[in-house]
Amino acid sequence: MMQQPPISGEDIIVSLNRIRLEYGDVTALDDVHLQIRTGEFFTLLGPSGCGKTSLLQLIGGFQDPTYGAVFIDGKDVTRVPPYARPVNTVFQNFALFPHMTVAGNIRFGLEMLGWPRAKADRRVAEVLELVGLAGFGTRFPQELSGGQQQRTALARALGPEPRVLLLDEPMSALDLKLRKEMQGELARLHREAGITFIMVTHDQEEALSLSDRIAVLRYGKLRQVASPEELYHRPANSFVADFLGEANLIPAELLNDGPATGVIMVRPEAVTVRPGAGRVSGVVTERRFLGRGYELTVTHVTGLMLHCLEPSWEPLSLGQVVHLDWDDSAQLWLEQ
Amino acid sequence: MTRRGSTVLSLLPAALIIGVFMLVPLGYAVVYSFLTAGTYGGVEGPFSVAAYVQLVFQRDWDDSLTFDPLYLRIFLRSIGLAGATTVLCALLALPLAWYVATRPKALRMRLIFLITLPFWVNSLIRTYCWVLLLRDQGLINQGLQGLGLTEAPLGLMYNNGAILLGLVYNFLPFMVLPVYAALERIDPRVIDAGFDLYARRWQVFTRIILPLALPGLRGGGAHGSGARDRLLHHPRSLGRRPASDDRQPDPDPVHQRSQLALWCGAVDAFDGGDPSPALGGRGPSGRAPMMSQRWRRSPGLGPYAFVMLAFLYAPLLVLGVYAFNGGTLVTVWDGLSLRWFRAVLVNDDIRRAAVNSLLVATVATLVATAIATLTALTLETLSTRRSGFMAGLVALPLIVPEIVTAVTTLVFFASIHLRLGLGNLILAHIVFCIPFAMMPIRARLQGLGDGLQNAARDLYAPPVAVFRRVTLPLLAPGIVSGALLSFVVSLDDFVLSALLGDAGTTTLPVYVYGMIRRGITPEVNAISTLLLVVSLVLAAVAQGLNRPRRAPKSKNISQQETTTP
Repeated sequence: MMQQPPISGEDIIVSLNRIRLEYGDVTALDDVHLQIRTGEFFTLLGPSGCGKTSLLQLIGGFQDPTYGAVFIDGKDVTRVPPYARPVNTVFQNFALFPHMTVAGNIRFGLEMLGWPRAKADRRVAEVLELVGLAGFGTRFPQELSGGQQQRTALARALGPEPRVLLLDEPMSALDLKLRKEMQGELARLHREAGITFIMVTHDQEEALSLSDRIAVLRYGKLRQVASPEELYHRPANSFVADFLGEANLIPAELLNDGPATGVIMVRPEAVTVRPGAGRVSGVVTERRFLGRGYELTVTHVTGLMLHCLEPSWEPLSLGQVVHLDWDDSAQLWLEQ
Repeated sequence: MTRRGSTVLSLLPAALIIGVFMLVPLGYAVVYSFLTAGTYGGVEGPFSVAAYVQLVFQRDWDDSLTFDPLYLRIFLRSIGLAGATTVLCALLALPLAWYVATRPKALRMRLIFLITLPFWVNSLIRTYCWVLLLRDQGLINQGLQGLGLTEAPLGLMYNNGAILLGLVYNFLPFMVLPVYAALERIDPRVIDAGFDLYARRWQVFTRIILPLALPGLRGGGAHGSGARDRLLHHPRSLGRRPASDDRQPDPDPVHQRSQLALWCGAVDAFDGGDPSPALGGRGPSGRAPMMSQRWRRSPGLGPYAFVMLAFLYAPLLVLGVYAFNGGTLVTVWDGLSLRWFRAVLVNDDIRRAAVNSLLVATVATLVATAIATLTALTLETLSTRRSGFMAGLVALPLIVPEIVTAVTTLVFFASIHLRLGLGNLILAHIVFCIPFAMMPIRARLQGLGDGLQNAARDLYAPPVAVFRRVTLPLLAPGIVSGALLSFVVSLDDFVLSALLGDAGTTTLPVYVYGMIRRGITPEVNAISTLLLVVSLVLAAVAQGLNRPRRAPKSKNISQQETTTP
């Protein structure tokens, strides 16, 4: 069946049309429809097993979809092998060729593309400079630290000047401190290289801080595609609300006023404690001092636990009955 | 006693027996080679290089030297055949190893087991299987004539092609295993990275897979060069007419060395604590690695692997089937019968030979395993630098070609007038079995680490209790498979037994070889089949024992994985 590229006014670089991917009787991706804009930093976010890596493999050409089509730059590449796609991947654990030097690793893709020797050498030096590894070209991957290996993997993928850079959990092999450093580095590279980045991660903080837009996946289905701000403040459903940051999800029938069906979401920082009347009441069951205030856990009579952040001047004791309130603008109705 | 003293004492048995019965005979041989042959046998002074000159020149009656290319030609032919064997094995092994390496883990283990299993069978018998197929009255000629494709038998035996076939048959697994081990270690994402960076299939093969498989190919090639040794045996059965008068020495399978490699390879493959994801397996995180089915799909390789397995097993199967042949002609089928098995069982000579073989193998195994266990435990406590010499000494029987060992030991025994009958044989077998027995024991010890022993110590166990309650039970599978291994090696041995034995000490392989030389009778099929079954069972048990119990655990993980959506 012929699939038409999506018609869109925006500058779309990667387009996934109604993708379905099955492994035997397991459905890894289910009707995924997604468009990624040229130049943006796009992140696929979700818990492990949600299908985000499969999605990246489909774009890279390492998987064939069971149904649906992949477009890169307006061309249908669904059946095009990876070596003919203008995308490069930074692999999880880097996948550096152990029998080639750093420069050899970077030069490999350029050689495969048939770049003339001199031009390739210039490009190798250029990307080594770009990732801050100038002078490391003659080393072998095994002689590098984790961070340097990460930079080499980035340099290798950026070398052939791909239209799209795919990053498969690029930070997962690094320790926490290095991860923070490399996040800054990635943001800089994205600005300087000026190409589209598509990253897979399960780290919500990483996704929120780096991305222009984020797609949240669960069980092989897209749950929401939006900017970090919108995802956080206007989650489309309770899964997204709960997955990104902390959220109080309250069945509407528990509220003192309001309709009897549906769920509302309210972030802990928007909740205030009132001694008198409020929207919902409960007993303080946990209290953690954070310096700027207290984090309270308030348990409703039904057992539902609610979280709120409370300025420190109002010390509340455990077991005390409190009433919680918030602005209308802070609450969000969610579909179930 | 001091620690140092006990270390020295526990290394003494191995050092003594290998020193006296291996190192000293080798020294003898070097000294003898520079002496002159005595008029009435033996050697006499003074120093002379005549023996070496004789290798290339012939001394005429007038004392002038003329160039004699005989030995040189034999030597070159050996090298040529070894080279051809290595290249052929590499070409055949690479696709097979790739196929195995890209299967799921459970299947991989089974395939490796299947590939290695036939090579525990006595090499004499394996070669004999090909004689059954290739000779003028053999199955291949019968088949061709039956189909009317040829009228007279093709001379398939007694030529370089036949020798090459036999060598390739014998050495294929020694190539498959190291190549497989190298391929298995490749991170599948590296291959994906190659494709991602615009390399085509063949470029990925030549630029990434081949260079990474090279250490394995080199390793396999080194074992293949052992083919040179094997030639000494094969020309006799496959390459040379029995009637011809040959000037070549008359020794046999020196494949034990390679069997060791096989063993190490197998242990490597089964026991490799390497956390890197295998091509067909899952990554360290338990997540499926990125190499997709797209590249794992290798059309044609499945049937190819099947053909290779058939190549490995068909000759053995033919032998097994024909052992039940009721007729008196070896390869003419004449009804199902146990007749020849009965004939074997009532043959007194065979029974005597079997008793000799079992006696030698049992005693050699018990002594060698005890010495090997002691030595392995001691070496484990030493630093690599300090254990190096001893480890080298123990490995000596594997490094020296068996024919050299046999000849030098024979000379040594003769010169000290050691005539213990079977005792001579047992001594030589002990020396030879020690390194084989030690191999799985050391592998197991190294896998153990000292964490568990330290834990025992932490729980107040004194040294003796640590050994009895922790080390020994954990080591037991290694010791048992070491014992089985040396038992098979001893049963399999031909060279040492043939050269060192005398009238009363004929072992089974020596007897079978004699039977084959006298003429191929159905009795040979029956006895060979019995030996084959014994070897297969022992090998299966030994390999099964040394398999780590990690396998079912990883299975669980993958099961969990597939159930999570």
